[in-house]
Amino acid sequence: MNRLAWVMCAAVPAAVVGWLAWPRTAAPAVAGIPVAGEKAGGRHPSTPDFPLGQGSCAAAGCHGGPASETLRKGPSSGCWTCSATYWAACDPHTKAYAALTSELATRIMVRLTGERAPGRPTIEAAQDTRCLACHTDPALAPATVPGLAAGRLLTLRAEGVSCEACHGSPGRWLHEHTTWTAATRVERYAQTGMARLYDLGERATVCAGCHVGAPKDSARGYPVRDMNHDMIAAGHPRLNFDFADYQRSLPPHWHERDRIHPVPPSGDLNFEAKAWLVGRVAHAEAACRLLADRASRSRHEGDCPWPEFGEFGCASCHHTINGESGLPFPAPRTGRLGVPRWQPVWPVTRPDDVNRLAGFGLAPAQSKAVAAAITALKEKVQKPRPSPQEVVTLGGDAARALQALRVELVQTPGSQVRFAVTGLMAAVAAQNRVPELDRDEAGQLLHGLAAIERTRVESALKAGRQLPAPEPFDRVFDRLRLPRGTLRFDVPRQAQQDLTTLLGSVR
Amino acid sequence: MRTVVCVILGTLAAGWAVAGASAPEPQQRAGEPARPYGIGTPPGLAQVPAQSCSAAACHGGGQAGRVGSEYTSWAPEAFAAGPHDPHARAYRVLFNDSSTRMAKALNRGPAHKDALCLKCHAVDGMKGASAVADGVGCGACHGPAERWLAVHYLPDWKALSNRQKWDDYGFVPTKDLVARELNCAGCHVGSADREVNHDLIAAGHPRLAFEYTRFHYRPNYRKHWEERVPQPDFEIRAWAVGQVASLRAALAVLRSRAVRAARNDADTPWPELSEGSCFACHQGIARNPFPESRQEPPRGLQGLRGGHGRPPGTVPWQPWYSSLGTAAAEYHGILFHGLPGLTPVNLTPLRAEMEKRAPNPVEVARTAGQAIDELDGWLAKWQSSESGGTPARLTPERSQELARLIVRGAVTDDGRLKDYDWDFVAQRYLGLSAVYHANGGAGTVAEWRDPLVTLRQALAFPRANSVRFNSPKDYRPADAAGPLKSLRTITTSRSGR
Repeated sequence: MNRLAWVMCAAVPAAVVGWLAWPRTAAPAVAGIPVAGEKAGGRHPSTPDFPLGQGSCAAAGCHGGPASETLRKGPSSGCWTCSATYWAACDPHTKAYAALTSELATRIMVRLTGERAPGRPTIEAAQDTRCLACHTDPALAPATVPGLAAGRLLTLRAEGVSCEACHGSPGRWLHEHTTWTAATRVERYAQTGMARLYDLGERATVCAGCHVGAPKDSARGYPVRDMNHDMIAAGHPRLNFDFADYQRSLPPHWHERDRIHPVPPSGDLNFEAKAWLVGRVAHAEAACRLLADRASRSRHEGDCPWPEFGEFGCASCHHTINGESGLPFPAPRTGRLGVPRWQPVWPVTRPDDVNRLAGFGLAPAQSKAVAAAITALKEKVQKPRPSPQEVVTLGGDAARALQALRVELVQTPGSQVRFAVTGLMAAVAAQNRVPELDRDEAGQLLHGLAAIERTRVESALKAGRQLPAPEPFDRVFDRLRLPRGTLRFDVPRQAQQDLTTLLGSVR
Repeated sequence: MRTVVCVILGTLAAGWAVAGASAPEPQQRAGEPARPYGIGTPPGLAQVPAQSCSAAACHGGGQAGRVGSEYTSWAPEAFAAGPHDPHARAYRVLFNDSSTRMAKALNRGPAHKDALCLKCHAVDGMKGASAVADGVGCGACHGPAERWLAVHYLPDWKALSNRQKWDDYGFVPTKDLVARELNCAGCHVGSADREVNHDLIAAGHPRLAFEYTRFHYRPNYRKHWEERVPQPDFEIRAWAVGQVASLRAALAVLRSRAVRAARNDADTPWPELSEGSCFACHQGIARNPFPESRQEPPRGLQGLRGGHGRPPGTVPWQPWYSSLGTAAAEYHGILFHGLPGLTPVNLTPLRAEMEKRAPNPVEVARTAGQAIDELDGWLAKWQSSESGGTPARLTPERSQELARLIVRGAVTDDGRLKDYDWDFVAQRYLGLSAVYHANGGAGTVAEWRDPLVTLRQALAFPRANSVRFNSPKDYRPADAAGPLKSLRTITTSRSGR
């Protein structure tokens, strides 16, 4: 054979083999990774549809890297590599499930379900969906979860409120979320159902789902999350939530930054003030949804008490009756006599204050809609026996109005939020309205002041200025702090003046 | 001749006028359950002002405390300080600070002109401003005098039975305990058209927590009569009749509220919060009332399910009036010898409905009506037994037995409270005190004194800055369980059971 023939004998098979082996697509066809042309949002058939647990996130190469630097110095842009480690090391949500095995939980369950043996409740807290719904990933709370064996289910529950409880079940985003960028993030989150925790309002809503309550979510397999008065009477602590304060207290396993703009704007110095107000709105929104859900369940199911006492402020019933003696702990004096008041979520549940925020230019249309909706709702709720039908409708309306306000506030610059909030607080002081606030509202107002104070500290730190003196603040906090275990309706008189002064000096 | 005929005709006409007027309808028709008589105001009879009774030759004789000077003993002017009759001042209190504040808080006109207040703070149906200003005058308790005013001092009056006095003349037989206490309860508990609900209480009205012997034996209550029945019969029988009469009145109020609520009456809040135990809600919850529950199960309390198997968070229904009233079925054998067949009134279905968060008013009205019928049957039998003279003589042994029944209903064998509600325990205390007091605190009851004093201290409302609270701020159920357990031991060992 001639040389050409030998070359052809070598080259042609090589070309054929090369053609056969050359990848046809840009991405390797590995199971689980969506390929181009695959229907957007479709779940890959091999991706599990049930919760995977923290172990899946905490691979050393993913989110389970060494966390010593972050634990020492705080979060930075690379801290995502050790989020899971950091969380496991110091996040209080790790203890949520263990609380169900505590002595207090045993006592609560004995009171709720009776005893099957001395000291042993008929149903243990760790087996009761009502408790598991908040004390672990809600998707793990039902008695059985498709795809999970019983033993695995118990193991996953024992992780507490772990990654998936807040970030969502990973079935649709697990394999692709490593490829997302700021440009694609918003669209991919929406398509795959990952919780949009980059949005402050959505984050507050996720927190409020357990820390306030939420209706059943069949799409995600979540049971209803309703910690009601029966459970409080059995001994469960009441839920007294403030989003900004809780967020501030939580050791952060994330780096707070903008995740959806390719060129992120500089950090918001007024982040704390904005987080506070957005949190109040999200809290009220969750409360309205839960209220509507309770009203609805009371009509269709026998197990939802109506009226639900947990909807009302605790001290509006639980105050000692002291006649006209002028002693501490007087009875509430505003509003219709003899009827308990709906839970305060200051300033959102005071329509006048919401209108005042609108007057400072803060989401005027949405604020006014909220004020009207809350007014209509309170009129129907503050009765000895509110009508469930009316409450379902009005509660839903109020929740939607609050959602619109929340979305608008998240888009609003932090400086504008802070301006409106400080203006509102100064107005409260100037009109001497502190005496008409009840103790819960005063506490919520104080959280707001604390948030504003934190923004002042942030600004001072950033600008290299001297930090504001903590003494005036600490003094009011001390005056308002009651001995452990005290519950009262009013603000102590000596604290009213201090609080008014502090409000007047807020900037 | 003409004169004689005219005189005869005139006499016949006068006799017809006196005797021929139709008597009030008998209280019981054929087929209806038996009802006690002598309660309320018979329809169509007019009230006569107290001024009419106060003539010096009648009841205003000027010698307070003696027969013939009852008005003098009662009148507000007689005793400006010290023991007096508070009923005489019932109208005046409508002018004080508390009443004025209440009227403003409720957005109503002045209290002294408000029909809602005057129904209890004056004689119901009285006309004329000065007569209203008498307060709870003679007619409120003795009945409208229109028909008996002219005959009640005649010799034949005493020969009439209580029943005849009531049926024919509308005279309330106050010596009859059942009639007396049902009339008291008509204001002090309420009736179908008189009530103090939670709106009024929230505005500042004191709570109506009526117990007959507690009111009767108040140290500063100057009575204008003396009891004919000797101790200890009177006080203990009055206590037992009071329990049943108060319960009957409370049920009448409840039924009236339920009927109005079923019609969606705008002025009737439902569920009515004052049907629940006051201090089940109005307690300071931050301080743990069960501190001994660090270990499970807690000692001194029966589980923590609230007594009577109530789930936590349930507001108990009316323990003040209902916790002992039905138990009187056990007592009647002690108090009214030979009285047959009193079956205990079963309040369980009513309690179960009322302890729901939203009780069905139609169902409540029905079951309350049934309970009222049964209680009326009891009271009618007790009433005829009283007037027939068959009440049993109460001996110290029977006192002991009665006390044992009261205590057994409150604590178990091993000293655990069956219900820790303040009202429940307080009623037990009052019942035991009545028995103790009836026996003069001596003899077999002498050793009850210390546990009763301890129990009272456990229940007492605290004081601060020399002003008293209106709720039991520091009440701890375990403090009540101890003395009740002692009393159970004492009464059980004595009676040998």
